[in-house]
Amino acid sequence: MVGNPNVGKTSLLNALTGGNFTVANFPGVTVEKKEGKGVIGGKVVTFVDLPGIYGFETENLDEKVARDYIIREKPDLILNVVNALNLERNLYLTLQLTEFGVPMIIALNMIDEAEKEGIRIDEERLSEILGLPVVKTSAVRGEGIEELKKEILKGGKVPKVFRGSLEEKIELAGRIAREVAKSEKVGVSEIDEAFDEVFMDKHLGIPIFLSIMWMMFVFTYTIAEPFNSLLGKIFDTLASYISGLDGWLFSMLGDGVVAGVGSVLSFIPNIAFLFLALSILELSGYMPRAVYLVDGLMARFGLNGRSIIPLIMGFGCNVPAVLATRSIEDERVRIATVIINPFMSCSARLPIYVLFAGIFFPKTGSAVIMALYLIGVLIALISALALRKTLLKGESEFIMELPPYMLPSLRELWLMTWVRTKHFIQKAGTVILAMSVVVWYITNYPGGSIESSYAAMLGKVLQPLFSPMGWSWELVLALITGFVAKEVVVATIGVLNVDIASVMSPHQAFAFMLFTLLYMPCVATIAAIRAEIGTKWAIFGVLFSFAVAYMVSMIATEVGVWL
Amino acid sequence: MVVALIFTLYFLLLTALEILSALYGDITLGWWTVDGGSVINAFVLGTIAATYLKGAVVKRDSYSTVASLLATAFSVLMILAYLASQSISFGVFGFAAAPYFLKKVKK
Repeated sequence: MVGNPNVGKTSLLNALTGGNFTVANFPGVTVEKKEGKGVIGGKVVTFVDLPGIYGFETENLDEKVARDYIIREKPDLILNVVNALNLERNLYLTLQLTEFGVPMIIALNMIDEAEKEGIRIDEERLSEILGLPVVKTSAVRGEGIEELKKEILKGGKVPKVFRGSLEEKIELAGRIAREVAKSEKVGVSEIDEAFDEVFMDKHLGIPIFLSIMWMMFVFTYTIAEPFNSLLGKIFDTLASYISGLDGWLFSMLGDGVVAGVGSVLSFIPNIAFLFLALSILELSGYMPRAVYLVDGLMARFGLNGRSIIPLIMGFGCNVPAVLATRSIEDERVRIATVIINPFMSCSARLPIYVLFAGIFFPKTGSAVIMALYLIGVLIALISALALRKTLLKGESEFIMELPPYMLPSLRELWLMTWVRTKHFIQKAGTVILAMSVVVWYITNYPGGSIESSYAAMLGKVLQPLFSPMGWSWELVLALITGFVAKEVVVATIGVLNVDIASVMSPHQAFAFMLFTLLYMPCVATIAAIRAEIGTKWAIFGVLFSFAVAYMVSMIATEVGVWL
Repeated sequence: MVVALIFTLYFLLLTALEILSALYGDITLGWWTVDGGSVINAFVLGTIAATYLKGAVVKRDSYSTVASLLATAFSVLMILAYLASQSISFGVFGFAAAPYFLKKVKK
């Protein structure tokens, strides 16, 4: 399935496979690959949804992936999905596809929307000109799907080849579009115009965008919270029951596997709610407008408009935020956004700030906590700029398209949410399982308690590394256990019964808070980073954030001493 | 435009009450006690009020339509948030804009 972005390929994949498709990445790259099987006339047909592209002439990763796939995998058929609302631009890609010599079918999608706009397309004439079967479809409404299936069974036709320069193809696409499409009504619909006037307003556009982001935030965290707690309780109960049984195996299964994997699985409501909210924004057509609004600001830091949503989501939890970077098409921008995401202070870090600010800064606690959030944002943006100027250097190719506003269908929302959530469970679950066992082992052996464990020994061994900041081994141990989940830092300080007021000064406490803000992401976030951009970048992310945290907290300590 | 002005004042009032609730805790209006005020919720209500106001100033219906959509969505969300956390915000009163939004979209 090949087509421009936002032509409804995923909806068509849904319709042809009955939602039976998986989401993964193309080998070696972070470009999303959707693959599904559909039974047509008793035959199993495998559909591969290639990334949305406009042509094949740039070095854009999506275009490379699509071209390589068609050349190397030699598909039996190219299903070219064309947006009936913008025939001319879509036909330019069609003309390029004819050069591959692979049988093709054109699905003239969103035909219902086009007809609503007064666009009439003569599909028979189009078929005659291109020498290809053309089927009118509305994937969202399920129209034309049966006709399309019949054509798929026939195997399509090898098209006439249209060679020529870029300009010639553009001109030809225009000529064909003018010949086969007639517009009875000029301009966009009244509701589209009304929405655009307000959503893109130069004064209100950004406040409205921030309001919508806040609503998404509430939806993802507050409303999902009871489901989270319920899952958390179920896993806690299960973990304590199993670990209460005699033997190391039950201890490992309870405290290691069930507690560890459960800590990740209890994020599922957040993730599902986030994906539901993102799907609503994407399918309704608002997302491209929001991206357009903030693009200028983000571009100054080497990012683009699409980075803003994952960054804001990071204030709640970095795990779904990392997954939300999937909407970023440019691979370098996406990697940069993933790497800097853990600098956005997630909600799990709040208990640490509250504990330390309450003891060391009782009068200015709120301002200190606010400062930590702002420092996190600042460091994230500076890091993004640094990464984009060095390791992730390169122009960001970013074509913006404003599709019409639409009311998403429930079936499509459900499928989009479920497929993405399932992918997270499969990917993150496997890594977490292994990591949970390791963490369980080092916090329980050889002594049986955390004070006499390998983790404690590690705390003592690593303590000299933190001597410039003057933290005790107990605090270092708390940081190590915080690797599992940031909330555990506070729990460990509690378990070890550390009187923090007597072991550190206010500036050391501030440096410690800065360190917990910036140092390596938690296990669940690392698993999500690995699933999204690969092991190499996950390791880099851990080392990079640790280096930044170390440097910043050391500077904070030195400045504190000097003041 | 009269409708836009009335809604501007209504949402400004909700914004002010939300700020007070965020700063001073519980606010009781007769039998109704609001305890979930937050500055960010106030920001959303303020944005809705500003959108209605701009609609009244530039005399364009589109602003009132979008403001009503936001108010309705925010109200539904605040009701769900109440069910989830038992903490209530003045945002729930945004449902007053729902009939206006539905009327506009139908038109």
